[in-house]
Amino acid sequence: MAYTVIESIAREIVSRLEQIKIANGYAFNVTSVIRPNRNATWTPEDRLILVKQGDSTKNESLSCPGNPPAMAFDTTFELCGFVRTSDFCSKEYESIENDPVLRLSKRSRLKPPTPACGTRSQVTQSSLTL
Amino acid sequence: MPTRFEQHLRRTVVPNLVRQFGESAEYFPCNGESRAIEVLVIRDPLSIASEVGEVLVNALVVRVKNASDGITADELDTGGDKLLIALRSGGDTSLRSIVQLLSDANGFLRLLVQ
Repeated sequence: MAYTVIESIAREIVSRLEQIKIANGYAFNVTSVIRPNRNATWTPEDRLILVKQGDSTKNESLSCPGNPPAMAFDTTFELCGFVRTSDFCSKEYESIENDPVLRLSKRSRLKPPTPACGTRSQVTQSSLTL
Repeated sequence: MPTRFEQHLRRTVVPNLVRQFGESAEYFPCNGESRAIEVLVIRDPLSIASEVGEVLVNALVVRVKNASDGITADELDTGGDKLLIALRSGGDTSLRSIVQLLSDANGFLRLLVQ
């Protein structure tokens, strides 16, 4: 099944985040990577990543006329990583958060994909909430 | 130190409330074996998960006996404990995280389950 460019990017982000595993050289295993659905069936878990898609805005500087015209958009994906430590854990909260932040940032950095069907999209990562 | 009123409530009212209005659920402590418990559930409509912006999340408020046949306050760990419970009364059960201890009074623990 063919996906739109933006859906392909979203799936790629999810796919890459799902590869965060000890077996792949990371310090921890991601529990799951989810995109919210209408019924809100997800449940907060430690090391779960929620991928939120923001609005798309046209990027005039990368767009250009022609036949077909190239249309560029900026879309923000927000990755919300859950760190749910034990009630009995005495380790500093920030020190637990800091390590996954670095790894999520590294993993989710995407290059703009190549143009497809006269449309180009660019992904920017706006923020990382932990 | 609990008051006499609290002790009376814990001994007499709590078991009766659980017997009358309770439903079965399974408690999965993050460290330990799961066990069946009886809980009183308030099923709220979908709410916004404020930590992550405008993302919907299911929220249940669960009351459970603060005792060994419920969940004791010192074993509860909101960092990883889960409850196998139905989002809709009579519906399919699913494993949900216990995210917060809302209150602890009169023999009941009031828990936020999402």
